[in-house]
Amino acid sequence: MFAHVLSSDDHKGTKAPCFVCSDFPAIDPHRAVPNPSLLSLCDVCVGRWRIKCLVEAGGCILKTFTRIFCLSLWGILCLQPVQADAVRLRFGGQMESNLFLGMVPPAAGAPTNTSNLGRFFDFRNSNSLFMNVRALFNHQFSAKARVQLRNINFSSATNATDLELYEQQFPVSVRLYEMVMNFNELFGFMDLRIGQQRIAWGTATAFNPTDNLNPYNLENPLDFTERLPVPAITASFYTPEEFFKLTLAAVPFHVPSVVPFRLFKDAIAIESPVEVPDFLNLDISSVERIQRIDTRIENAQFGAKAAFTFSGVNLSASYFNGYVLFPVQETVDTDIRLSEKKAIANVTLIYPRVHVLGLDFSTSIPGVGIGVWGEFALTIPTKEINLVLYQNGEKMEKNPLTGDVIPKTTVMKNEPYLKATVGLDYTFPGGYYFIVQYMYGFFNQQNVDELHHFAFVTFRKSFLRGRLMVQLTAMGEIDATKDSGPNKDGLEMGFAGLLNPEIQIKPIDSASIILGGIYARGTTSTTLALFQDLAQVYLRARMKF
Amino acid sequence: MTNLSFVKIFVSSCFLMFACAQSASAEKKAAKKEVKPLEKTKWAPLLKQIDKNESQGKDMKAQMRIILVNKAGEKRMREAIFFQRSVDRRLIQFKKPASEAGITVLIKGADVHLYIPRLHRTRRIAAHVKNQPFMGSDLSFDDMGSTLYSASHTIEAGHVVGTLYRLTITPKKKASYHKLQLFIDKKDKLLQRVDYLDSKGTCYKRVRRTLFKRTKGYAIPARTIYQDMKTQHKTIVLLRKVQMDTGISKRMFTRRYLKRELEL
Repeated sequence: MFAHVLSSDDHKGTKAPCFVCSDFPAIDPHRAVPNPSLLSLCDVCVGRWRIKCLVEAGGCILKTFTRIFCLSLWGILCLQPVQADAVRLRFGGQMESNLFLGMVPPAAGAPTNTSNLGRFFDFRNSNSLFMNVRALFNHQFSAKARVQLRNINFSSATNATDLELYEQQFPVSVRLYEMVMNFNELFGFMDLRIGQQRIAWGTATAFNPTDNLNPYNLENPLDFTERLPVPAITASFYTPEEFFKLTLAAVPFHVPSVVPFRLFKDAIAIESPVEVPDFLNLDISSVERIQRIDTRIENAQFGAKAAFTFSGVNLSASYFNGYVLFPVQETVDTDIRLSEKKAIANVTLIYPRVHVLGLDFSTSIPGVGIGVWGEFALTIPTKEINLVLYQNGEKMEKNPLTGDVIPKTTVMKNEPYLKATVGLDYTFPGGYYFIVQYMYGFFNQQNVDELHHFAFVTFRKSFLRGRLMVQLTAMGEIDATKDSGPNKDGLEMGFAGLLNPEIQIKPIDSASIILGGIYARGTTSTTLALFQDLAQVYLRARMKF
Repeated sequence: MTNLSFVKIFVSSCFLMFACAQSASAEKKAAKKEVKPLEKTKWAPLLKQIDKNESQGKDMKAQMRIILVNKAGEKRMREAIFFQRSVDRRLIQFKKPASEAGITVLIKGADVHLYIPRLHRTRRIAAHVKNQPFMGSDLSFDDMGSTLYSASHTIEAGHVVGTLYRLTITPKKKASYHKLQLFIDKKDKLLQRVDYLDSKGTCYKRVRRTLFKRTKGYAIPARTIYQDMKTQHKTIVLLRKVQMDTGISKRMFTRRYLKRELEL
C-alpha cells in the first residue's frame, strides 16, 4: 500500500488507484473524497472512511463537549472559593466638567502664542471620568480602585504637523487615582492598608498643617483641599472600643506636589541673589531643576499618629518624618553672557527633610453646641539650607560684575516653626451655617520668618431641601513679617483678601452644577496676592452614578 | 303612584340616609377626639414601658429606604443600611443616591461622628447640627439616634384620647423642642406618634409609626413618617430585611467602621 498524492491534473479523465488500498477501480475522486484534488478512494474504503468520519466527528463533538465541560468545571471550581468568600463587586463613578474663565486681561506685551499657557486661567476646560470599582470579600477584606480618564484643553501641538493628530489637540491622560487594599481586624486589633491611598490627618477645614503624607494637587491652584494619593502602607492598632488608636504610615516613594510653578515662583523667591547693575540691561531668565529623590529605604517618609477619645473630645498627636511639600532653592548657577546681553540662572530646587510634631483636637462646646477644632504643627528642619552660588559651574563668593562680597542667603533656617489652625462652626436658627477659621502659616510658607496670619469665614445656606445652596467664603491675610511692605522692609504690614461666592444647584440628587467666582487683591509680599491674576468665574458640573 | 312620587321618595330616602351617615361619622369623630385625663399613677409606668419597647432586642440590623415627599407629592429616594446595638449605639451607612453613597453616621450615646468619603475625614458632629435636617430629609441626627424618655424627660400630663394614651413630656436639658406629646397604643403600649411642640404649644413636627411587624417576637415599626407641619414636607422611612439578635459586635460601633463599606 502506498500513498499516492495526485496533482489536480493527474486525475482528469483517468481513474486513480485507491489512496488507502491501491485497488482499482476507484471511484471518481470528485465524488467522495473530502479533498478531491488530492486523494482518491475505492468504494469499500469510502464506506469505511465515512464510518471513520462519523466516529471521528462524534469523537470531535465529544472532545469539544468534554473541553467545554472541563472548562466550565474549572471556571466553577475557580469561582468556588470566591463564591465561598462571597465577593461582591461594586462599580460606580463620576463625570465632571470644569470650565474656568479668567477675568484678568493678559498683560501688555505678553506673547500671543501663550494665551492658554502663560496665564494659567485665561480659559480652561477639563473633563474627567472617574471609574470606581470596589471588591468586598467579607467584612475583613476589601479593595478599591479609582481611575481617572481626563482631558484638558491644553493642546500639546507645537508643530504644524501636530495639527494632523487628534491626540495632540485633545490629549487624554489616564491616572490611577487611588488603589488600596484593606485588611481589617487582623488579629482583632489591627487594620492594614496597602496601595495608593489618601492618609488624611488633622481636624481643621481645608488647611491642615499636620496633613503631610500626601502632596498637594494644585492643578487647580485655588482648590487647597485636593491632595494626591501616594503609594503607602498604613497600619492601625486600636483598643476594641477605640478609646486609643495608633496609626503608623510609611511612604516609600517620594511624590512631589503638583504645583502651578509659575504662579508660586514669586512665593518661593526664585531669583538670583546676584545683583546685576541696571546699566547692563541684561535679560535675566531662570531655568529650574527639581531634585529627584531616589527610592531608597533611607529616603522613605513615615509618620505615626496616636488618637484618643474621651469626654466628648477627639484628640490626637502625630509625628511626621519626610520632605517639605514645596521645594526650596539650593543652588543657582548664573550664566552671564554680556555679549548676548542676557543672564540665565540655573536653579536647583530641593526638598529638605523635616520633622513635624502635630497635635489636633475637635469637640463641641457644651451648652452652646458650637463645634470647635484646632490643629498645631511644629516643623523642625533637619539642617539649614544656604543658597550656593555658581557662575558657569564655578563657586562664586563675589559678584563678578561689582566685585562685592555676596551676602549669605538662607533659604531654610534651622529653626523650628509653628503652624496653627483654629476654627469653629455653628448653625444659626433657620439653617444659616458659619465656619470661622484662623490660620497661622499658609501651606507654601516653610520658614520661621515667612509665616503670615490668615482668617476665613464661610457662610452657607441651603434652600429647597438642598436643591439650591448659596455659599460665600471671604479670606483675609495679614503679613507682619520683616519682609512685609512694598519694599520688603517690614515697615508696613501687608494685607490681602479673597472672595469666593458660589451657587450650587442640584437638579437631581446625583448631579450638581456649581457656578462661582474668585476675586483676590493684596499688597506685595502677601500670598493671596498671587491669586490676583486668577480672578475668574467657573462652572462645574458633576454627576455621580 | 306616579313616577314623580317615586323619584321624590327616592331622593328623600337618599337625603335621609346621607344625613344619618354624616351624623354617625360626626359622633364617631367626637368619640375619637374625646379626651379624658389619665390617672397620674399610670404616667411613669407607661413611659417606662415605652422605653422598654424602644430598647427591645440585643441588636438589630435592617435596610432603610428613605422617601422624601414634598408638598406637591414629588419624591426623592435614599437607601441606607442600619445597625443598632443596645439603645445608644447606631451605625447608618448611605448607599443611594450615588452622590451620598458612603456617607456614614455613627451615634454612640451623645457622640455623633460623620464620615464624608469625598473629604476622607471623620467629623465630630457638634450639638448645633444635631437638630438640623439631614441630607434634605425631615430627620435630624437626633432622630437617627434613639431616646430613653423616662431618663431625660419629665411627665407633665397624661390623657386618654380615643384608643390611645397621650403623655406630654418636657426635656430635662435644653432641646430643640419645648415639649413632646407621645401617643401610645392602649393595647400594645407601642409608641405610635410623637408630636414636637414649640414654646407656643404648636406642633411643628410629627412622627408617626405604623405597620408594626413582629420579628423574633419584637414589634418593629416597618414605616415611620416624619412630617414637617409647616412645609408639609414628609420623610417616610421604610425598614426592610429586619434582623434581630444576630450578635452584632460592639466593635462595629467605632470610628474605624465609618470608613468601611458595610453590608447587611
